[in-house]
Amino acid sequence: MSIEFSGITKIYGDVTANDDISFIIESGTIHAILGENGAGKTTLIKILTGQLEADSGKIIIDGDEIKNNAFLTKRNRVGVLGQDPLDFKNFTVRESFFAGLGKDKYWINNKNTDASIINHASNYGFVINPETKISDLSIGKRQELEFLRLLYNETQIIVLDEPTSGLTDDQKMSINLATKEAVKNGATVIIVSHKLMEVIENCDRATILKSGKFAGTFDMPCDPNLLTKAMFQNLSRGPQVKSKHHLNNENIRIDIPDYFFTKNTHKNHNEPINLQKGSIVAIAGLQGSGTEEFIRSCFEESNNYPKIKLFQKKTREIQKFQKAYVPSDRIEKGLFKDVTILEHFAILYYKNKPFVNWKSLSKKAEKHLTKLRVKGNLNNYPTDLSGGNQQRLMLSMLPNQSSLLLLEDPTRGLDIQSALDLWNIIMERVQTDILVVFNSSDTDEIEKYADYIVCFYDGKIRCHHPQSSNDGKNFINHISGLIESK
Amino acid sequence: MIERKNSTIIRFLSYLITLIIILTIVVVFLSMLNDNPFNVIISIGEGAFGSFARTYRTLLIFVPIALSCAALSVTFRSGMWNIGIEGQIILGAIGASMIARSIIGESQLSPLVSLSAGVLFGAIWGLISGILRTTSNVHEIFAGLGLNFVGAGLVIYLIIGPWKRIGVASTSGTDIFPQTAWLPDIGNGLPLPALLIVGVLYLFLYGMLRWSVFGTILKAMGSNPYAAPRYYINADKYIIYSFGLAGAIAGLAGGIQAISFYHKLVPSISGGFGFLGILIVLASSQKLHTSLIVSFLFSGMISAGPLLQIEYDIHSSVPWLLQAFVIAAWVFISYSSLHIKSAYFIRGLTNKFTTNLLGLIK
Repeated sequence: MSIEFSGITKIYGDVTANDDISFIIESGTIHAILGENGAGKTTLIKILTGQLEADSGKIIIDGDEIKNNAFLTKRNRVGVLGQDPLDFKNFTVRESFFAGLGKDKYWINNKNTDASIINHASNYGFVINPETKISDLSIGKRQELEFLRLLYNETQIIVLDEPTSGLTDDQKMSINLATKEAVKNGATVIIVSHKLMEVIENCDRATILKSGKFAGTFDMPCDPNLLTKAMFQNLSRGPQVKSKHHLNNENIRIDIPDYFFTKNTHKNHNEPINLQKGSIVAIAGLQGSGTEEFIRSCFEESNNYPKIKLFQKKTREIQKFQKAYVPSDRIEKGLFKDVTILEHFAILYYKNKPFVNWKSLSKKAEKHLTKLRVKGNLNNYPTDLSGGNQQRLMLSMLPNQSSLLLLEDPTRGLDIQSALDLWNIIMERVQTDILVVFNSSDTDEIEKYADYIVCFYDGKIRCHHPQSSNDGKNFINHISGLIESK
Repeated sequence: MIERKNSTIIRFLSYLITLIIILTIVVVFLSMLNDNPFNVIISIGEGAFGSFARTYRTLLIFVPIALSCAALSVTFRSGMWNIGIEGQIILGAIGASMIARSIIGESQLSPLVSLSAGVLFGAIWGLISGILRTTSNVHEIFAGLGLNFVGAGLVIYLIIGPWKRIGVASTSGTDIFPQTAWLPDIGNGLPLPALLIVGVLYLFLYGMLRWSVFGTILKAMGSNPYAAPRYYINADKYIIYSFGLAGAIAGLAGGIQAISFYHKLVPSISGGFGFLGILIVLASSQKLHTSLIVSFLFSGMISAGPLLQIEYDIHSSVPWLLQAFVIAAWVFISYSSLHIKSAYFIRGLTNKFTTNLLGLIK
């Protein structure tokens, strides 16, 4: 099905998310939509799927204009595969397939359904077991399953909204292969992504959005520089040097409770970690390998995990108010939905005073926002902002001085420019003598920025070493479980 | 979810539609009871504001309802369900009665002291809910319900036990307080001091919730308690504060009931105004000014009850039923956004009509 966007405009308050966007997606192609965070990709997709109504403009599919979301009410027209799987955890694989089938069937015929599901999966090179519970599957497997389900229902337009963010290379490969297979069978695929190389390898064409405007459609493959030029106004350089300024010999010690160790932990690696101030520590591990729990345990006690204690000058424990924590669930854990950005700053700076000097606060907050390039108004609510802007907003609200900066998957869902900006900010903060601990499944990021690497595998710590050591260079093998315990 | 920002026309239309639907329901309900529903509506108005004495009574009823709405606005803002408000009102009344019955009751300062005691007792009752919630993880609804029962039991015990009228064994109430203990009216007029308390309190709350740091943090707690640690805010502390403040205001309501309306302690001292307040605040989507207006209308309906029975032979429970209908209709409309949907529908029709008309003219 060919899709034509014609003059799509969507305005939220002061922010124009989509500004007169017009382009055509040819039938039976893989079409990428690229753009910085806040460029309007998600808004455009939501308008296509009918979750949002455009203020003006129309969508024409196979020559017919779509009115009043009538398009959506028909099953198997548009399917979205998002960053996180949207499925029923307590279902089996079979039930999950059946739930998507629609009203024309009332009983599950196990034999026939199983055969057709298994056959269907193997056509796309996957192996599935209809009896498995969804909750027993990994995130990657669940994404595969969601994708298979869309194909099983013969969905005509498939939108992949960064579905490979948290997947292993193998899983990415098989999803990409299956996408190509789906297009052969007549589907039209739209990929929303930040990852240029993946787009260039897998897509037929790519449309670029820049701050809400259409910035060109390119035939693939093409020169990546061409794309980056179109995507970013002026791509600022990322921090080039690592933090090699350990002028300060003050030691920091991390005491890790036994909970995080198993018998597979390398010898002598269950002892406290000694670090120098100004180091950047990466908690490396694949999605769901326990790295997030580690970061959280560093910040606060919880019922599920023991607390990790950090000491300064050997004996002085770093207190909670000396720690700054940036959670990856920005809306769930980091920001208040019904509170404006200005009021967030009021809570931050005036929490021990009875009244707020709103005028001087506005000035101060405005300064913080411009410094970190947060696109948004002080009277906006956090949910009005894009993911990258939310992340920068949270960073702009960090206290100026802290002993420990904890970042939970800091660049999840961010585009290249936002990620570079973020690391620029973090590197600046390291200069003022703090310890940064972050977790990530992005090996490039870890290699580029970390001084010390703690490797997680299957919920527990495998080993930890400075990046400069031999083992440090091999950390990928540790986190993927390739090197067995000695 | 479909996200829309409604224009002024749509909002105005939707208010109008709400009003029309509710009025229709009221009229249909009343016509089942009486030949002419409009007579009933007029007689309610007359019963509530028909004479000086009636207006006076209405205003006296309005004060505790408005105060319990104010108390509930605080706890709702911090995301808490203060079901224990009835108990807090009762305890406030007990506190005020204790002072009014003592030697202090004979002095001119008595109303001030007894209202303060009411505030204190109510606040303590509220704090228990808050502390149970934060330290022992007892849900505030359970704690509140339990404390309501305790409060109701306590007031009956006092009336038939230590504070009983000499030689009388009944639950009709304690002895009337000495005149000095009553909340005075200024001049020969309306219950001005009580109204003044309501006015000042609402202004204070409005400012607090809108501009103060405390109000902003309360709103933040209600919006997302999980984000609190990141801002180094102790969420528990603010939960306890909000319960303390709500309890204090509810206690004030109870105190005013005791020394200004009944002039004695009676078992039904709370009048069910706490639970009514919950409905009003929820239906007003936690907006202070809306709850104030609705409290006023409802106090009129309640006040008119006796007159309806005497003059029109309509049972005095009719105003309560009427309220229930109004609130049920209102909640249904606002939570199903029926009014907004119909407003869009009407605008769509008008647009179609005008375009057709223009087409015809051309």
